[in-house]
Amino acid sequence: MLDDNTATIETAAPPAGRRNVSVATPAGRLDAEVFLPEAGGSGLPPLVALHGISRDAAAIAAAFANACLEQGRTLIVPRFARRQWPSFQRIEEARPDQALLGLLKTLRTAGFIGDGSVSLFGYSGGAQLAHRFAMLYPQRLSSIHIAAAGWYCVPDDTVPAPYGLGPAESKTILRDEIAKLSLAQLSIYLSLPVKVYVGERDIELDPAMRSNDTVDRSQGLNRRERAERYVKRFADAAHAHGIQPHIELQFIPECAHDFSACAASGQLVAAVLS
Amino acid sequence: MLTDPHTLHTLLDAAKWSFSTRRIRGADVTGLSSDVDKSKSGDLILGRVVSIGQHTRIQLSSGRPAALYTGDLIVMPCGARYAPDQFEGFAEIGVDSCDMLAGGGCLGRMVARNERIKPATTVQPLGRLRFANGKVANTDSHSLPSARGKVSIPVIAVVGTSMNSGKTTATTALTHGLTRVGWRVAALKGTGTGSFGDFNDYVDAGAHYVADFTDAGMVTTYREPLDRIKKGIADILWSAEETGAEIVLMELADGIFQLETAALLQDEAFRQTFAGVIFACGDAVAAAGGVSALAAMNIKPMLLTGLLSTSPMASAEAEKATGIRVVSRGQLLDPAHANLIAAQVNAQVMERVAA
Repeated sequence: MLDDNTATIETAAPPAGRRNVSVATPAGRLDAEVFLPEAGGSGLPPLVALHGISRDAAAIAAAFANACLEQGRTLIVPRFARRQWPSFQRIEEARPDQALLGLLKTLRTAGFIGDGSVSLFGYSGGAQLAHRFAMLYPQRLSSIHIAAAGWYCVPDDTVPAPYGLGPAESKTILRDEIAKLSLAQLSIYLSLPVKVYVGERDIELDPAMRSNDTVDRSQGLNRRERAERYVKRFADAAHAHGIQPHIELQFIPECAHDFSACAASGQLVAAVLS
Repeated sequence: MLTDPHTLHTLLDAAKWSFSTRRIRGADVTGLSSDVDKSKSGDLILGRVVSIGQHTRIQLSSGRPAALYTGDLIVMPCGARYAPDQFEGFAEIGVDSCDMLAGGGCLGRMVARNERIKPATTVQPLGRLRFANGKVANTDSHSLPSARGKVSIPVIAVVGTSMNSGKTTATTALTHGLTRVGWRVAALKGTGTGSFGDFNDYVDAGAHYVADFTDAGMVTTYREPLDRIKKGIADILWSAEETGAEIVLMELADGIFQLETAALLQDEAFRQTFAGVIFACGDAVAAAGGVSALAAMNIKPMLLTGLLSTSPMASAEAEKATGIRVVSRGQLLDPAHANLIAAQVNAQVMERVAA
């Protein structure tokens, strides 16, 4: 005779501090540093902060850890290893979304985070993943913070994937599928609070930034221009769906494409955690 | 002799209790009634195995199967069974003998048998279990509390063409896919016969909450009054929401033409329970026929799945014939696909609330 399966188990909050977590998922392995606040925290949504293609997760952690812990907020800083995740920025054949979800599930199971939504930040390549992840799983996020993305997947089904949510010109089945799944949930994504950040001086072309006729003409010539255009397209798409957008653009003064410099100003971290 | 409490508990401790008795505590049983021919559905019967037939094992209340031997003592509820692959049977216990109609419970009288399977395992009924207050122990004795209202979380019904059409595969795959996203999923069995197979599959898939009609007091829903089944479903849905589930997958047993499943699907008020329906079937013709039959009940499935989805060509035929998307097990397991289903049913619930 089994006990009633409605029983719940009360668990104590895990001790505060820094934890290294490694999660093997079918999509690939993902490591992360997790910073746990005292006494289970303040109840603010945990912040998941994604690095760019330099994979400098340590810089991300250094920038956000103290401020998060002061707020009683858990900080999760994944690290997509270069060899395992050569292109973690996009959700196509590689599935960084599944690895991230696997990490979050592990953290929930361990009692490090609750069942609620998380706040998602990404810088540069991490910002690309952040907004693509948000389009697929908008219900699980409380807010997203897109900083200095090289280019965007715009919320527009007249633009072929991966630049938009229309059918891909090159017939990649998964790319089409992801675009369709994102498009079907677009109104939820457009209802999310979104902040877009870019360095005031992030106008230089660099080899890491995608540049071709399609993206240059559609999105702009540099990250600053692309951020401005994305915010407008997001707002236009929201209005077209009858949604009042909650998106804002913030320039980080004096900064070019340099996370540490953006973080050093203090404005980026403060804006993300505000 | 059997009414002596010490002897009775010695026998009950030695007996193999079937899965569908799981909510009853043996310690609460104080007596045995010999009037087994008065048994009704759900009454717990102490019996002795006389011959081993189709069921060579019993599904224990602890969740594991146990081999059966002649002479074994068992505790199983009396109940009917509807299983085209095995038996049809009624909730009737003979004075001298009865049939094991299902390994998780129940005992009854077999009236039809699939030609491909063996005759039923037979059991000598020794008596009906009684509590101290004189009442016969029944699966209804310790059921979940009654629902105190309608649930607000989205409920997805999983129905199919028949047994083994892929309903449980779809339910477990989608449960797991949604769980990977972070949804708290309740996986429920709304109709059928008490068995740990589906129950354990739901648990293994990571469901936040698992229950079936047995938790609502019925060993089987076959030949139960429709209102009783609807109440049972309302009770397990309520319990699911009380535990914090955010989304419910409810599998309805057998095919859409099965008596109780068909009656439920034809019930307009009951259909309002669901924010979406998933239909599992074996091939494109079954898909077209099933979708047409469901349309006659004012139901349009949100997606097709099941054995059909293992064949890209059959899937394409079905999509062309029905205009409904076919989703494979692999896609249901994929959190991105699963989350879209969650988004669609949540939107459906919000639309209803707004209306």
